Amino acid sequence: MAKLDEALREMAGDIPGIIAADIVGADGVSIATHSVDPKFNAEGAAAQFALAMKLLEKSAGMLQIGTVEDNLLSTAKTYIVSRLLGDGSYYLLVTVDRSDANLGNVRLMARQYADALWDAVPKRKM
Amino acid sequence: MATEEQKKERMRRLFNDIIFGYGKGLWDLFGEASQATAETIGEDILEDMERELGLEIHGENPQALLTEIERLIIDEYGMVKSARLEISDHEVDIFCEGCQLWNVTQQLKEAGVPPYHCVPMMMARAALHKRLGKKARLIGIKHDAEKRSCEIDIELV
Repeated sequence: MAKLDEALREMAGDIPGIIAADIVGADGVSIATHSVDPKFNAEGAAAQFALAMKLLEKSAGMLQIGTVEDNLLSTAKTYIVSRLLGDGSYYLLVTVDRSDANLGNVRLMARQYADALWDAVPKRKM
Repeated sequence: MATEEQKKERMRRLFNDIIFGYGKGLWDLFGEASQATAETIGEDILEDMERELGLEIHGENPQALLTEIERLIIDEYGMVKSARLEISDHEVDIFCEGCQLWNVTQQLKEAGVPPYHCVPMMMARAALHKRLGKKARLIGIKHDAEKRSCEIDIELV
């Protein structure tokens, strides 16, 4: 897991305004986290976005618009970018403070680090 | 008119059917992500135990926590006839016999849905996380239909 933690930390270092970055299983369990703001409920976000990502995948399938790559949630305070990794059994969740972050940079970094993060994910038994 | 025992048995079957409907429906909608609901339900069960029944799971030793859950589900709830929750380095093995949710567990298994609603598992996950900061995820289940027993493995993350 050290390799994954390191890759996540490196990516987070390239994103100004970062609040939290997580690698989350399709079951909603975060297996690696890099949190800058302890007030942010990163574990809650991981679980909630697992449900959201599954719905988005289903919707994209029903609409036949291709596979989901990433998703953006904009709120008054944050941008939250979630990006599927590898075979879709994990996703990357990046939360940033929108007053400090550049959305283009967040999405670019998520895309650039996706393969390295996926390579570092320990593959599950089941 | 039904006897009290018959009423209890019918109610138990009714609750099993309701849980199956919700469990299967949620799985059809969210797939593996349905498991994200398990910890929240587990936390609610623990809170309810503390608030309504005055039962509390104490301790900093993971095995002691799990042993207390064993006692609660057998002696205080009658949820299962026997149970054993054991922790090793990276896993928790949950072995139960005579579970009140046996029927729904079987129905879900036949429908290809893992037992993410398993009460001892939800309680163990929530207790390990809440009390000790350890996260866990379901990795497998074995059934023995003859003994009506389940062995559920969860992995500590």
